[in-house]
Order: sequence, then C-alpha cells, then structure tokens
Amino acid sequence: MIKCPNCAGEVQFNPKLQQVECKYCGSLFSPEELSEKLKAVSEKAVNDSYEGKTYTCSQCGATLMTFDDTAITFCSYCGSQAMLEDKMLRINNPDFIIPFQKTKEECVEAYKQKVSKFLFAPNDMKESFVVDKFRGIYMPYVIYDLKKDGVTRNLGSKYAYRRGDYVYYHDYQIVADVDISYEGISYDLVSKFYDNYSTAIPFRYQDAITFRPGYLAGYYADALDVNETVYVDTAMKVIAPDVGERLKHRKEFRKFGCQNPKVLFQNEQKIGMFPVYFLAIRDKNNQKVSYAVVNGQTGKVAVDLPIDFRKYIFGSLLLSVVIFLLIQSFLVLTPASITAFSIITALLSLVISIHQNKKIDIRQHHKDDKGVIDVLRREYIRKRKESLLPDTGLTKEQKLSAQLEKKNQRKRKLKFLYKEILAIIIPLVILFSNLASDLYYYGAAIISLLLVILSFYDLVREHNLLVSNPLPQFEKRGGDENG
Amino acid sequence: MAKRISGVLFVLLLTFCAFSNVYADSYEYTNEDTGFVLSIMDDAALLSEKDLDHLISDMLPLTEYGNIVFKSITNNATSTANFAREYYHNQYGTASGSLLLMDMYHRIIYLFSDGNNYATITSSKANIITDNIYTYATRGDYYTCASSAFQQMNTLLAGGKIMEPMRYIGSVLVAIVTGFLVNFIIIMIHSRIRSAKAEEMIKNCKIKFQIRSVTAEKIGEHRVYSPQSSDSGSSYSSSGGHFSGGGHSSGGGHSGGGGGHRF
Repeated sequence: MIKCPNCAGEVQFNPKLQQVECKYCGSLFSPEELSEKLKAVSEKAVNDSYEGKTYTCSQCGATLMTFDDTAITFCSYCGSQAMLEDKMLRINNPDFIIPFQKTKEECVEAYKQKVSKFLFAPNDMKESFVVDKFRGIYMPYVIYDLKKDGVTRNLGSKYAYRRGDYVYYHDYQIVADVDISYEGISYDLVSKFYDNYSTAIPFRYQDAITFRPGYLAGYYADALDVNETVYVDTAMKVIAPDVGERLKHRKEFRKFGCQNPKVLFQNEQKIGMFPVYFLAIRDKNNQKVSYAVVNGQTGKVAVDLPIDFRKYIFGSLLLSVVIFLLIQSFLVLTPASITAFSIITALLSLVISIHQNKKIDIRQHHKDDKGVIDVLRREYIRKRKESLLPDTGLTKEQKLSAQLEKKNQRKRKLKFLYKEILAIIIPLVILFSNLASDLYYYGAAIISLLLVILSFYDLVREHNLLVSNPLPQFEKRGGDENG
Repeated sequence: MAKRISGVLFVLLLTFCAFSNVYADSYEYTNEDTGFVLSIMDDAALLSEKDLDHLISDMLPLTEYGNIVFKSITNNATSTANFAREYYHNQYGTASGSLLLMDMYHRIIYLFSDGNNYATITSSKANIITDNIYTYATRGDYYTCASSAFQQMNTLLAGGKIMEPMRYIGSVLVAIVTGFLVNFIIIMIHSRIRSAKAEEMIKNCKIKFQIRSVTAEKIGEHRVYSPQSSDSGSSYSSSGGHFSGGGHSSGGGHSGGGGGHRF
C-alpha cells in the first residue's frame, strides 16, 4: 500500500502537478522520491514490485487493484455492485508507465462534449450520477519494440528487352544494411478491456517513463490476463506499409523494380501501465452494457452511442418536413419514380441490416478480439488438460442447445428481414406488370415505403445491439501475477 | 361577375360560330384580340358533335394565353412526344400554346406546350395533368378526359393550383423515408468507435530508420509470355452505350416540352 512517508496518510497522484500529494498533511513528493522514502521507511518494500488490495467482481470475475484504503464499491466492467475484497497482491513492476495527465474533471468534460454532439444519445448517458462513475484505471499494455539491425534482402525485377512473344526481365537482389526500430506499438493485455475500445484511444509512447509505484496512488489498476505475444503479428502489419514506403524512398529499390520491400523484424516486448478513464453503463433491462473510455494521457474519447428511439423518430420527422418542402419545390415525383425509390430504400435497408447483423455476431462473440480469443483458448486448453471437457469442449446437451441457438438465430434474421424483402418484391411485381393505372404504383409504393419505415425500428434496435456488449459473465481469470 | 364572364363567353362562342370553319371532325377559330388559334383535329373520331361543342367552350378561355389544340390520331410511326412536338411546330412554329394529343395507336395522352404556356405548364405540370385525367381515357370517356385537361390548364395559366392528392401522399412518404434514412446514415458514420489508423499508431512510436547502404546484384532473368498483338492498340477503348437526352431545346431562347400518360 502506498502511504505518506511523513504521516502515513492516504496519498494521491496529482495529474496537474505530476506529483504525489498527501491528502492529510499536504506533502508533495515526486514518484521517484516517494519510492526512495518508502524504501527507507519499510523494510518490506521490494524494489521491483508493488503491492495492492484486490477486489473481485462476483458477477463477471473482473479484478481491480487499489493502492489505498478506499473500498471498490462497483465493477468497472459490468457495473455490478457486488465487489468482494480479495487479498493483498504483490505484482512485479512493469517497465514503463504513462502517468495520468488528465484529471477526472477534464475526462468528464471531454466525454460530455462528445456525447452532446450526438443528438440521439439517451439522456441517461449525460446524467451526472452516471458520469461520476468514471474511474481512472492503469491498464497493462504490451509495448513492442520491433527491430532490425543488419542486412535485409529483397527481390526486384526490371524490364530488359522483348524477344518475339516474350518479354524478358532481369531479376535483382537488393541488399540493404539497415538499422531500423519501431518502439512503442502497444496493445492492452486485459481481456475485459475489449480491443475495439483500447485501439480507439492510442497512447503517445514518447511520454512513457520508468515505472514508479507512486504514480498509482489514488488510482486503480488491472492485472494482465492476455499473453504478451498475441499482438506481435498485428503490430508487424501496422508498421509494414510504413517500412515499405520509407525503403522505397531509396532510389535503388525503385530502380531495380522492388515494388513491396519488406523487412523481417525481431521483437522485444515490455510492459507498461497506461492511464484510462473507464465507464460502464448498463441498459434499462440490465442485459447489456455500453462502455465509454477516455485516454488519461491525451483526453481522446471512445464511447458507445446507442440511439434513443423517440429522439430518432422526432429528429427524422423534423428532417422529413424539410425534405418534403424541397421535393415540393424542386421535384415532381411520378408514381413510377416513387415506386423505384421505395425499392432502392428497401434494398439499402436490407444491405444495412445484413451488414449490422454480421457485425453484431462478430462483436457479441468478440470474434475480432485477439485478447479475448487468447484467454478463451487458454481456458479451453486448461479445462481439456483437467479432463473437464470432452473432445469438442461441449457436453451433449450443450451441443444440442448450440445447434438450436444457431437455428433460432437464422429464424430471427429472416424474421427481421421479411419487411425489407416484401418492400422490394411488391413494387418490383407492379413495375414489371407494366400496369397503366397509377393506383397500382401508388399502392405498391405506399406499402413498400411503410414497410421500409417499419424496418428502421429494426435497424435502430440492431444498432443499439452493435454498440453494446453482453454483460460479462463470471469466469475466473488467469491473471499473471508476475506481470 | 360569373354571369358577366358567362355572357362574354357566350358572345365569344357566337362569334366563333359565325367566323369559324366547321367540319365533321375538325374546328378552327382565331381569337382576334390575341391572334391565338383554337384547333380541334379529332382524326380518331373520339368526340361526338355535342362533345365538340362543349369542348370548344372549355378551350376558348385558353386562347387568351396561346394557341390551344386538341388532336387525336390512330396511326403514329414515331413516338407520341415526337409527334406532338413536330405537329405543333409545323402548325404554329414556336408561338406560345399547348397541344393535347390523344394517341390511340400507342394509347398515350400527351400534353405539349411551348413559349409562354410552357413557362406555366412545364413538363412536370403536364405530367400531373395527364396523371389526373388518364383514367377517363381508360374508361373511354374522351370528352371528360380532354375537358378536364383544359380546365386544369386554364386553372394553372390563371395562376391557380391543381389538386394532386396521391402525389402529396407519395411525397410525404418519400420525405419520411429519406429523413429516417439520412439520419440513420449520419448515426452510422458518427456513433461507432473506430480503431486508430496505422499512421496514428506509428506517429506515437519512437522510430529509428537508418539505411547504411543499399546494393543491387543481378541474380538472373525471367521471361513472361506476352504476344505482340495484344500490346499494340490497347489504348483504344469506347464506351458501350449511347443515349440522347429526352429534352428539347432550340436556339433563340426558346424551349418547349410536355408530359404524358398511358391509358
């Protein structure tokens, strides 16, 4: 625990001063100075580790650490108020830390600004009792240092001459002696801090400094549970185009026809604690949770923005009035054009719905989240080793229920798409029937447009699913205490 | 006031009867005050004599604004719109006026206007009028069809407005759907969380990039089959389709056009 060396009172890191401040005696310490003083005071203090009290959420299994006597009353990941005090935990010091540079007030202000720009956001999101739940958490990140110091070889080929029906090219090996390093491509190592949020608030690695426990004072920290090497490939893909572009600046690569120069990097990784303000907002039915995260270094906000359906209808009808006046002023719609319009909008609605359903599937099951996949994979392997699971990892009942769920999902999809499909078929039939009477066209167009309007309800519902997460369920996480 | 107008119309009608050449299926009258012509050429014999009398009284007020022509045909080698335009221009040049054509060959009613009349009875207005009247033609009530068209033209030229209830309903629904769609697209663009781009991630790194030396060494050659014939002339390409616009305009700031409906 981090206490004031002068009065043993609670201390807190002040982002404005970038110093640790005692809440009782008002003493100010730099985190380095605090570490030295604590070492002198306590014999137990270990140079390369820090200690904190852990709290575990009985609902989702998330673990948070605190470094003072403040009890954690709610879970940052699922919003549950059932946080259980666990034990004192000593964790190896990470290599780096980016200290909080934004205060909670600045974070709340940035969040409010972002949300207020989105007219259709539910009012709950702006309520102060919700916003107050923003919590400053140090998240463990892996920092990759991708290096190449030595010779790299690439192939190129260049037009030489033509002979008959063949074109001849000379092949070259381009040998470059390079010293390249990209240090600071970072990814979070907490599976419950989903990748789509963490990658939306990138950190400036240039500001990372050597870790000192004093920076944690007054904040929370999470323990890593994702393997550090999981994101190496992703990091390589991020830098590959930049490497290629920089190499191509050398004329030799262009001259000898090397279109896509590559370098094989070696990787060294380090662990850093990066500052994140985190907020979980449960929906009214307590079924889903939306997150808002604010970068504690830059103030960048990433927030799930669901739609308040009433606001959406009101806003859309207001816009419709303007559009109606424009149509009346500049356009004369024929029955055929209205019918064609209804088909186009129904098609658009169908495409959006299919696209959203695909994304929902990916997001709800975290299919694109390498951290979650890694944790699930290791959990599966562990259970297999302990013979808790048969070959497939599922019992017979589970298999049947999974099959049933798949069938139901398909049915549900069709149920949601039937409006769009009907809205396309009905006017198409009328258009191809080539009937003379306008009444048929108007009738088909009106039915089709009404169906399209109804389909917007589904689109909004799908959108709200897409910007929320299922409530995390309890699963004991295999946190690496030596991280 | 209404009685006075009726009286004037009656006198005009008598004058018309006195000075016009009357044939079995064609009538022509010139408004001496304006110089504009009223012409009925019912080649398809769609109107009875009684219908013609009534139609004349419907058409007479329109001679205040331009030539007014009713034409019905049974044969047409060209399109209805083409026929209407060429017929009008052959008869009256580019003078202000309107022609209501009932093309029994294509079963299309077409309303063509030119000059000042076209400024009021635009193509879209012509479409609205023919939309409003085509059902009469479908039922074979050609007089009511033509009469209704001329009455609506008169309303428009006199500065009034014509009813188009279905069009309003259609426009309302189109506006609502567009409103919902536009808002949803805005939501899709602005409400989703997006991962930082690679450039931004790289900008946040410490980068060292030194190229000490680069050498290139020829290691061999390879050939690619590429017949010479496919190399030459490949720069030529032409687009597949060709369309000419449906609109019509000619020099001297004149324009005309119209709209029609099948029946």
